[in-house]
Order: sequence, then C-alpha cells, then structure tokens
Amino acid sequence: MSEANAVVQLNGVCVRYPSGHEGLVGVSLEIKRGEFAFLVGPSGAGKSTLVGLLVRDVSPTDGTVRVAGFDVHALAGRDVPRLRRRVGVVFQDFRLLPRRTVHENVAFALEVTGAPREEIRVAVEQALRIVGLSHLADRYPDALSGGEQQRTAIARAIVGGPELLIADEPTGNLDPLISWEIMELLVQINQLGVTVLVATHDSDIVTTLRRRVIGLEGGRLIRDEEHATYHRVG
Amino acid sequence: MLSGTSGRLLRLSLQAAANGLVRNRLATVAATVTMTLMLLVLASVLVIRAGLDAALAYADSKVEVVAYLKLDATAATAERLSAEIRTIDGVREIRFLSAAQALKEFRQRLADRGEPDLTGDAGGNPLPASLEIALNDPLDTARVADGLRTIPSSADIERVIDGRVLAENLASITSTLRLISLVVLLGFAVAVLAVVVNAIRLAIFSRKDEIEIMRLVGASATWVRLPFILEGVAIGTIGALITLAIFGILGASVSAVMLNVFRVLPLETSGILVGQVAITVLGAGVGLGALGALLSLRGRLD
Repeated sequence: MSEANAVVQLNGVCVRYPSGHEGLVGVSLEIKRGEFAFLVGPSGAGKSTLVGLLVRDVSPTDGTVRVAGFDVHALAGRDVPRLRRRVGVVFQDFRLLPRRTVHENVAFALEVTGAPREEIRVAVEQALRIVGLSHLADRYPDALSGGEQQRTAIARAIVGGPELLIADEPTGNLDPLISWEIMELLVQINQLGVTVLVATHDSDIVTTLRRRVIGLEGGRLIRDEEHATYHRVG
Repeated sequence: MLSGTSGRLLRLSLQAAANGLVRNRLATVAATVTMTLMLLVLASVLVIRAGLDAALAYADSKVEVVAYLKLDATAATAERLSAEIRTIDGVREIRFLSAAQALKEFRQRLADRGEPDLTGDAGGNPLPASLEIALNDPLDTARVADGLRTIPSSADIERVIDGRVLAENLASITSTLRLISLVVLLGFAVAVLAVVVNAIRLAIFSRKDEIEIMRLVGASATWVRLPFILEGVAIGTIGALITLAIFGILGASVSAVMLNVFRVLPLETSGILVGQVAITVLGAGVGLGALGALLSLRGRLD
C-alpha cells in the first residue's frame, strides 16, 4: 500500500505511562483512505490510547504515528491545530457546549479556526443536512434526545471536512435503535469519502456490518481482519 | 483596521472573557479588590515620591556655601573676594552680608522667636561679615568650598560652611524611602499576581469543557488563550479605574495633605503629576493583569 493512500499509519508504536502501565506495545497498522474500520477490545486494551495518539493527546514512547499526512509527534506545538482540523472526533459523552444552540455548536468548530462567516454558514447547513438536524438548528443541547445530541457532535466533527473521523464509543450512551441510526449515519459519512474509525464494545453492530476489525488486548494488536465479526471466528 | 478574522477573534474572546468574569464573580471581585489596593498603594507612593522629589529639589536649590570673613575685613576686601570667587566654576550668585546686617538679621530672628537679645552684652558686634554663594548645581558644593581655600585672598576668609551635609542627609532619607516603597510595591505586586493567577485558573477550570472542545476541533493557541488574557487585562483595568476614581474623589483632600506635608511643592506640577499617576496606575493594572493571566496559562492549554 502506498504511503500517500494511508490516512493512518502506525509503525512499532509503544506507549508506556509514567505509572509503568503499557498502553500500547509495538503496534503497527495502516488505515487506507476511504476505509471504515472498527477498533475492538476489552476495557484497558489500549483503544483510547490509540485514539489519543491519533490526535496527539497521548505521546508514544517509541515508534511513529502518521495521520492525514502529518508525522503527528514530530509536529511543532503551533502546528498541532492543523492536524486536529483534519481529524473529526466523536465521543460517548457528546461534549456539546450547553449554552450554544445546535447550529452554534457545529459552527464553533469552524469559528475557532478563523474561517470566514459565510463559509461557516454554508458548511454548518450542509453538515446539519447530512446528520438530519436542519430542523433543530436553533435548539439547545438539553432540549435534544441522546441520539440528536450525538448527531450534533457528528455534525461538528465533519463540518470542517476532515480526512478521518474517529468515533470513540459513539453508541455507549444510546439505546440499541438509536445506536443503529448513529452507526448508519457513520456509514453514510464514510460513503461520502471520509475515512472512519469506530472504537466500540457493541458486538451486534460490528458483527452485522462485517467491516475491517482491528483487535487490541493488553496494548497489543491481536487481530486485523477484513469483513470480520466482533469475536474472532475459530 | 482589524481583518474579519481578527475582529471576530477579538469579539468572541471579549464575549468569552466577559462571561468568564461574571461566571467566576467571587474570584473576579477578590482579584479586582486586591488589584485596587495595590494600585492605591502605588498611586500613594507616586504622590509621596513626587513630594519628596520636590522637597529635595527645593533643598538642593537652597544649598549654598557661606564664607565668613575675618572680623577686620572691610567692604573693599569683600568686593575683592567676590571678584575672585566669581572665577570659580559653578558659582551662580554672591551676596555680601555685612557684619551690621548680620547682627540685624540675627536680632530679628531672636525677636521673632521671642528670645532675649543678649548681643548688647558682647560689647560690640561679635558677628563677622559673610559672602553667601549660591551654586548652579548642588553637586558643585565641595569643589566651590575647596576653591575658596585656594583663591589669592583666601587669607581674608575666617571659615567656610557648606550645605553638603544637609543635601546628603536629604538625599539619604529620600533614597531610603524609595527603597522602602519599592519593597512594599514589589510585595503587593506579588500578592496581586498570585490572586490574578488564581482567578484565571478558576476561569480555566470552569471552562475546561469548552477548552477541551476548542483543542479537539483545532483551535489555535491564540483562540484558546486570548479570552483568559483579556480577563486578566479586564481585572487590571477595572482595578485601575476604581483606583483613579478614588483618587479623583479624594483628590482635593490629597492635595491639601500634600501641600501641608510638602509645603515647598510647586502647585503647577500637580496637573502633570495627576497625568503621570493615571498613566502609571493604568499601565501597572493592565500589565499585572496580563502578566498574571500569562503566568496562569504557562504550560497549560497546549
């Protein structure tokens, strides 16, 4: 696979926390442009560490991490925002600003990058259309259901046109029906050309969708299979 | 003119700063009160120092060298001496005080103080004539006093008294007071910085979710930090304005105190002094506020 075609590239990455805990041990993997992959594993397997590495929230003690063309940990501090603008992130707890409307929450992601006002308006309307929330643009987060809040968070993550969308347990706070709606939305966004990486415990969704599954356990990469189920077969 | 992006950055940062100040109003009030107290001390020190400087300048202007002539010196001797003294560098003016005038002035001073005049018992005028020599620069005192001892007619001079000691004492008192005021101000500045740092840290803590999201979506360091720096600046500016308002209200009383304590302070400097105090207080408030914010942000929000 050519390097230019890889949105995520980890080479021999190790993360050892100050406590001595091994977050990741010698992990190497690539995620191609336009791929949809699941990141699975029990709690403490290293999923959150891997997600943190991709947005430079966590630093490797060894190895290299490349994301969207950036050598993540060789970046100067002032250049880190440029990396984060190319990577959208969605969390289990939504992380919306309670005093801002849906529209303002989504626009916030572009406002802080200094984008022109008109560009922000057009991009926010488009993102809200994709997630199906145009009719709720003026609502505040506390007036939304859990699913609608997560859709808002997804709209915020994609409004800047990222190359990579990372969803860290995006359905962890949602009931099964809403979880499926969110997962369908992530698949739809992937079909628009955005590379999607979903860290999840939801075995039904992983098994049903049959996508690439990257499995971690004890900080080690234990499986990387295409069209796989949540649990390893055989 | 600000570009669209810079203007929006400033507007949004100002909004965030205003929200932060209101949301953490207790810390804001504590920081502003401490800032005001410190600036009040600063303003007082500035005014007192201006008074001391004026007093010192006045004392300096009064420093002169007095050459007491021998008892048998005549007016002609005094004239010859005056001519020779004028050749010494730094001499501005020479006033001849005859023995008779000296006695008259001495008696007048005694009468003013209500003390008995015993000079009649001395059997004649015991006071010598003198030459009072005013100088261009008080620092020339020693040189002029020494010069008096080397002029051709120096034998006609009985004794030379110079105002060196007075000037040196005043300078020493003033420099001691300056040092004390500097130490007090530095102490207050450290206290102010600690309180501002605390207020900004509280603001950072209360907005940690917002900051986390800003980092997540790729906000630059300026976007993340500017609201907090503006909060520090606002605390400093409000403190300075309160200080200046207090000084404005108490201005008349302060002037009266100054005139009482430093009777020699020329009145025309007070307008300039007010301007200097206002600029210094405002500058110190804004500077300390911004510095406190920068210190509290150091190593955070990266």
